[in-house]
Amino acid sequence: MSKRTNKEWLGIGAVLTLATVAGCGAPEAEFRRYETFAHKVAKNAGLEKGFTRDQLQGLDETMQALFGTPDQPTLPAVEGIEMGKIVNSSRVTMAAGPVWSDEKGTSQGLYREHCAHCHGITGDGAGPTAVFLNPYPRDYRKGQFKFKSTPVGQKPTHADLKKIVVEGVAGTAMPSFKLLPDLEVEALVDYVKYLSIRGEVERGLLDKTTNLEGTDRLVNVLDKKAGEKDKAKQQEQVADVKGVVKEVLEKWDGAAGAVTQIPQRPEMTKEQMAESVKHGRELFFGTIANCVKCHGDSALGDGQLTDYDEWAKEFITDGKNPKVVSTYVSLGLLPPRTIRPRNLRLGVFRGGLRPIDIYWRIMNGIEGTPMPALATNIRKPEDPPEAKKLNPEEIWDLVNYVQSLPYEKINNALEAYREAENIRERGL
Amino acid sequence: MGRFWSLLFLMVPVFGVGVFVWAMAGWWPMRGHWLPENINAHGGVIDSLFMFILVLTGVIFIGTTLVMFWFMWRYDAAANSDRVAYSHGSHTLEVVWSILPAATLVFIAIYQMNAWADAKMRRPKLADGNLKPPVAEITGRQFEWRIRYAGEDGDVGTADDIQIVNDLHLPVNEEIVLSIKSADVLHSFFLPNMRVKQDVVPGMKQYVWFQPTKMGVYDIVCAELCGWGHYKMRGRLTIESREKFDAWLAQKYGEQNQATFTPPPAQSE
Amino acid sequence: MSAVSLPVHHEAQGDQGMSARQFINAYVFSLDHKIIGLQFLFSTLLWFLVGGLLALGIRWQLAWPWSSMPVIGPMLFSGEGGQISPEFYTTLFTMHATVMIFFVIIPILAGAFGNYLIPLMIGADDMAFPTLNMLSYWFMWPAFICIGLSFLWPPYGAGGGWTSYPPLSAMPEAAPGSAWAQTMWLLGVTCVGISSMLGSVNYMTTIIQMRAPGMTMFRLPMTIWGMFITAILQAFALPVLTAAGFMQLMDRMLGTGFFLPEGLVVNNSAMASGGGQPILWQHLFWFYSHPAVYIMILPAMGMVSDIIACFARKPLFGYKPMVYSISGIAGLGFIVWGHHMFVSGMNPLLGMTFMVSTMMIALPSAVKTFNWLGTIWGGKIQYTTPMLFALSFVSMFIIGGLSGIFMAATPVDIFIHDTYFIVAHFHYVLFAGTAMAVFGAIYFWYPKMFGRMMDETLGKIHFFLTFIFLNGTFYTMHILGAVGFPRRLADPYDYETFKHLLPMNQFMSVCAILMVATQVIFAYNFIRSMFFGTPVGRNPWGANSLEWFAPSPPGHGNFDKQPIVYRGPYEYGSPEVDTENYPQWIPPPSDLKRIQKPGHH
Repeated sequence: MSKRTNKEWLGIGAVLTLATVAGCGAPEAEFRRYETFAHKVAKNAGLEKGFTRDQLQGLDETMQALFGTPDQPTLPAVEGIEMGKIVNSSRVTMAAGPVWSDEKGTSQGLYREHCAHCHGITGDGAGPTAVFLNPYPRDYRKGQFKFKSTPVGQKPTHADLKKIVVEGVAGTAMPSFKLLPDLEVEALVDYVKYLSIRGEVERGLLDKTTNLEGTDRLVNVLDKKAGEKDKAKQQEQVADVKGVVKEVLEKWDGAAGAVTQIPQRPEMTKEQMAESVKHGRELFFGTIANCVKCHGDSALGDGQLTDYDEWAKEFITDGKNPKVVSTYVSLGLLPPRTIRPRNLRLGVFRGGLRPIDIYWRIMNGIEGTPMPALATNIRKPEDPPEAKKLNPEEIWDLVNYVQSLPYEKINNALEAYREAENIRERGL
Repeated sequence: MGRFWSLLFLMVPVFGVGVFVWAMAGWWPMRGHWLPENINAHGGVIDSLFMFILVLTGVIFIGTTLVMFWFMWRYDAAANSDRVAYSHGSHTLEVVWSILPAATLVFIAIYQMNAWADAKMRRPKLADGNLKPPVAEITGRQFEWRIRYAGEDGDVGTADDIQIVNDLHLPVNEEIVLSIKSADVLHSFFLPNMRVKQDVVPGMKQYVWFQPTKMGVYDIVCAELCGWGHYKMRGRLTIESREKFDAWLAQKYGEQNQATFTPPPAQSE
Repeated sequence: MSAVSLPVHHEAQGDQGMSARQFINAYVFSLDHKIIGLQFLFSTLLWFLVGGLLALGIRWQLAWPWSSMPVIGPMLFSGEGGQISPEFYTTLFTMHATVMIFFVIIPILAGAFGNYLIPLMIGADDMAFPTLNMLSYWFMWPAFICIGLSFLWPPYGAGGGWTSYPPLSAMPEAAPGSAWAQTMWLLGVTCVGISSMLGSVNYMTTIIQMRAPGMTMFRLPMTIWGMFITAILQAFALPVLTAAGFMQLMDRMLGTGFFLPEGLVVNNSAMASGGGQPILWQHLFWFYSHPAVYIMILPAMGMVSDIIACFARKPLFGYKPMVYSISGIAGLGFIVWGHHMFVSGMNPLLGMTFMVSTMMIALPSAVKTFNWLGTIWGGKIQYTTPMLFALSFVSMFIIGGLSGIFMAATPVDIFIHDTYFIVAHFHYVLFAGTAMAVFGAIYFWYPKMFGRMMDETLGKIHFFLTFIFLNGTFYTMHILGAVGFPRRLADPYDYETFKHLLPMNQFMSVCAILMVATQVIFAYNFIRSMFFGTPVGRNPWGANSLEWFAPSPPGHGNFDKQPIVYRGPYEYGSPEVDTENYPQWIPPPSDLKRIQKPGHH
């Protein structure tokens, strides 16, 4: 009796051990397909049932051929583009893969150590932590970045991205990685570019997929029966795909040349500065700059509260249709939140607090948000004098006004009250 | 078996003391497994208190565990043929072992009060008797340390502040006062090498002070759970000479007020 | 004695022919204190497993940060290659502590052993309020369900730490684990509180009112004294936690702002309505949770005293001083809570007073330790499994007690607060102390509960391995603490100061994994002995207290004969009789030799 039961126990133990060991195998991280965008383009193309499984598989295979896997990333080679100028492949390798250190103690797998839990393995801004953050982490795949020195539509420069990684984004959950060694920061910036390029190429390829006919894939698989015609078609398809890649890469290649230059801020005395701030205030409330429309009468960021950013608007346009929203949320879009204009009185400037940072924000706008670029309203020599435009130096007046706002305590009752009354100082 | 078990319990003081001695000596593989270097002129008192209590408790630890081992060895039923000592206790012993620890504990309590007052209550004063103003204000927020140096006007919270994240520089051999606060949840401002730790509480402004004695680069640690990124909240403390510190501050001020930009000539990697 | 056949109702015999309603009344919604005690025991042991596995999750991340976590990684984070997210780490340590404290230690001591032993040891047929007793168990279930539910959705549990400090915990936006999981946590803890409260009034009443004839207060075994004082602590401290918990719940759900300062914004949430103070929560929380530390150790101290006296075959040394020190701990326990808050921003002057009271509370603990040593002095020690666990309790409690003096010293606490020194300290008290005592108690009272012995050889192997591995895991934490290694960091190795501590952490994690693996031996022994253990009579250990007068296992109503108490519970080696033990229920022999008892007053 006792013996048999002992055997039974052994059996149970063995089953449990096996189950545990089976559970121990580490799964490999995978890039996730761009489901939201796939749904959107398929719907726009009138494909009732979306893409076929074969088409999507073709897409995944092409993507893998171009960019590899999260553990073994590769960079696509395109004629006429010097890849090394955009992304350094050894740094991408250093940032990719699981977290470990080599014999010399150099950290590897940096992206997964520092970034992936928010920005996601795919760079889709939907890692496990993302949904709890406000604002959400950036989805790199759209290829748009907010805080940069280049105009809307252009890519950020390497230095722009690096500044964000090093300094963090004040007022958001993006922390500063200033204490990482420079090499590691560089590796992370390159990896972010890699993910962004990958995402934008996926978008381009999804667009192409809508045009496929019959049983075609992005790049057809040739079987034994394939004739010359099939081979030629495949060549053509590969060239098409490369064209998409090249288009994306060219934009990144051109970023450095697209930087908005900033003229020296005029030297000012205290009185001149006060005058400049005063004029900046007039512009703030004026009809050309019209900052007041969104940032509100007291610059508390309460002018309009119902708009969304492009990452959400791309799919849900007005955010009002719950059915549309839930469709995209089920496909991986984070539940959309309205985007709030900045409260300029907190002294927290997400893109940086240097005068040039604020200048760029005003001049170029903030890509992907309702913040418009003032560049189109700057007077050019050929403009007629009655045109409602700002003089270039008036941008500096606005910058000066914005920089003065956090210290204008009298206008901010709550802040003033907190400073004066509520903060208990212990003067022992 | 009784002998075996007594020897197992003998291992408690043997290994217990051994591990501490090993760590203190810094022998392989426990190099650097002891109090980190103290670089605060006022931090030594905390270290000596730590060592004092360590020695005191160490003696009690060795004493009680050895007594326990001896009793276990001596009074093992398998080896002890004596009659059981039918005793319900001893009044004298109870009094002795109540009063001795009580006296020791009261002594420790009084002995350390001054160190506590120095660390938390007696903020350094200026020559004129006023409290020394903070050189910078540190704000903990999820998940970074925001640092504001008072600019030329000497006040924190004005337009000429120098604002930096995570990178605190301070001059050596000077009495430093920092004001610390929180922008969101609880954090704790912990400088291991200064023996300084203070929780920062939203709605409260507090001060810490210390006097660095050695130049170098040290850690700023967050020691109170502040959310998912608690471990990310790492700051760096650089202690340098007054000249270097002033130069660094001036440089940061310049960078912060950068008011022109011409892109650098395109460079290849 | 054991050969006597007993006319009591055996549960096993009633099994056949039992209707579903009868079964439910007898085993599910049972009013019998023993069934309720066993219900508590089984539930808490299952949660003990959960808590232990959560601890392994913590240890895994600390030893092999960001590598694929076995089982959990592929289950919850397959897309990330099994690498856990940092907020999951916060829920791991929050839920480890929550489960261990609220679902294991408190209910296993008060709920399982309190319920099982109090009526038996005082000679009563049941608790004073059986229905209340049943409710105290069934109020654990809403708590189990709340906490269980919180594990189901990301981030898989509350993440504000078991201390649940606001604003992190009071604002749902402040942390991933502070969303609805935190609400579940608060509701769960409140239900545990109700359960403990129902238990404690019952225990107090039972101990005061239902003692057998002759059982004076100073003839109560130390276990009962421990339970009695614990019940008092719970009754007076718990309302504060319950109230504080409701306040936090209202802060979260109604925006009352008891613990939130004016205009607070966390993670770009809406502004808090304000008017409150985060530190207020800490005061209220620790006003309960410091006494709770004693709730988690006093019953263990009592059980250890009984076990040690029994196997030293010698009277407990200094019975009354032991009782007074337990009471002293309880009294002082109410005025030391501030020592958790020395660097919290609390008024530093207040820190000084708390420091003095904290130093003083070390005194009764020292007295108890000396008395345990006095008990084994001059005895005839039998190294049974329960005795080994009890002795290890004493030895480990010395470490845990002495390390407490470091943090009671306020200037030292500035450095070691929230470091692994603290973690070492409370694991020595709670795991190496209480949990080892609980293991000892299970081995000791198992024959009473199930009428069969647990296997001694397996028990000793279990003890030996647990003892080795627990020291490997926890003793080294002191060293980490001395370096300033902070608690609750998902990846401390980015700090230059702590970079080199990785190998030490890996050693600790290996020990921890082996320690948890060792418990398989215990589980096997526990379950197997229930069916195949050696059957025993009423008093297999030759002990003195009243529970050994009842049959093993005792039937409904406990005693087949009314116990009458003639003496204290520690009369071992008494010259009045020839036997080693001299149980409380045996009348004095008629030819009683009148002798002067030494040291008796």
